[in-house]
Amino acid sequence: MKQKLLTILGLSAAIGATLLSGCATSSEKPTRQLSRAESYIEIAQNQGAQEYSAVALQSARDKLTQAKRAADKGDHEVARRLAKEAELDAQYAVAQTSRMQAQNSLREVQSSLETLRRETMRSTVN
Amino acid sequence: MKSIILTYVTASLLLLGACASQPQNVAELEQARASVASANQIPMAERVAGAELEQARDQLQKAEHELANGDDIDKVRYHAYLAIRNAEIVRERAAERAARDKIASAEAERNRVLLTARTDEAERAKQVAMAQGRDAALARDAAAAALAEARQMEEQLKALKAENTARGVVLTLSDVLFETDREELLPGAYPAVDRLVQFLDDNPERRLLIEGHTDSTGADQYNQALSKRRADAVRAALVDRGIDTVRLASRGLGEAYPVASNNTAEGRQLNRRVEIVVSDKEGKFPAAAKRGS
Repeated sequence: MKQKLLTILGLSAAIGATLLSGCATSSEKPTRQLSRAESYIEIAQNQGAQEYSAVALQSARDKLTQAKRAADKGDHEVARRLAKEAELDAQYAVAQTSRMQAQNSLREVQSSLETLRRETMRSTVN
Repeated sequence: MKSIILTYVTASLLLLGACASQPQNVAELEQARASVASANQIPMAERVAGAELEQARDQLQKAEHELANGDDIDKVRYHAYLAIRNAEIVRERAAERAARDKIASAEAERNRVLLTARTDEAERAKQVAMAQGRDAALARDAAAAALAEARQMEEQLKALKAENTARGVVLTLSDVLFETDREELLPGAYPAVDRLVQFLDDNPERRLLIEGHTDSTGADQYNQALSKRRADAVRAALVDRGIDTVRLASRGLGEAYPVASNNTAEGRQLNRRVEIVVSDKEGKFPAAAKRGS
């Protein structure tokens, strides 16, 4: 019985160790990835993402915070992934902000075109 | 000891479960497949966000591989998430480009409308200028016509030996056109009467005031009556030749307005006369014409 148990224990330990090594590959703190995420968040803020893409921007900030916490705990692989996700969130916030700003400009230009058309129509009739 | 062993086994199995047991439906992966598929459908995706589109495809492929290999499910989710985000970025970039293209064409349209409006305005201004030019030409013609008319009248009045006096245009028929003490016009007066008729035909808006004058010889009343009859004789001659009576007024002023001395024969001859005052264009006589009677 004890023999059997030890076998299971050994097997499990071996599998567990293999899986552990498979899951956690990175060893270094992802400093570069963290600062990239931070830079993109700053770019998004400067572009006005707070107004146009608040959800994505907040997600980026939250993930960066979590990434830093994980890095502090030495959980480098988790930190790296969270930082990368934060970067993509921030990039998406930038893209969404630019798109909405462009669409706002389009509406303005179209309405000024309409106004112009009405005015010239009137002056032509006169 | 036994419990420690059990704990370890449980932990190992849990780890095994976490990494190895692969559920077929990973929500992120499903979403990533859909997102990448729709990003692939965007015609300008390659052009506006080629790098992101490639990233999205790569990340999706990694996630699919990891799922197939039975890799860590968190890793699958992670790559699926990156694929989704990249695909979303592609979508946003494409939408932004579409908006910017529309802005460009709206601005081009706006410039076209502005240009058309300015061209129309210039065309209208040109037409107004041409119309004004025509008006100016008409005004010039009218002025020229008026001037010609005035010159013609001047010529006619000169032919009638008219004078521009304080009373207006006045012409004088001398007494040699009448027999002494008689009011009938002598044939010698006819050319002057014909010129008057011609003048009145040419200037239908003008009227005449015909005034008879005498010298101081004879009684005042007689002279007044004679001067009136002579004025009427001239008026009758004009009416005979077709001039409307309403255009002709006559009066006798007797000896009250001599133009020369009554002490000499020459002076008395000058005083025996018929004066004809020409009205203005409105048919009115200047205030100075209104004297006597």
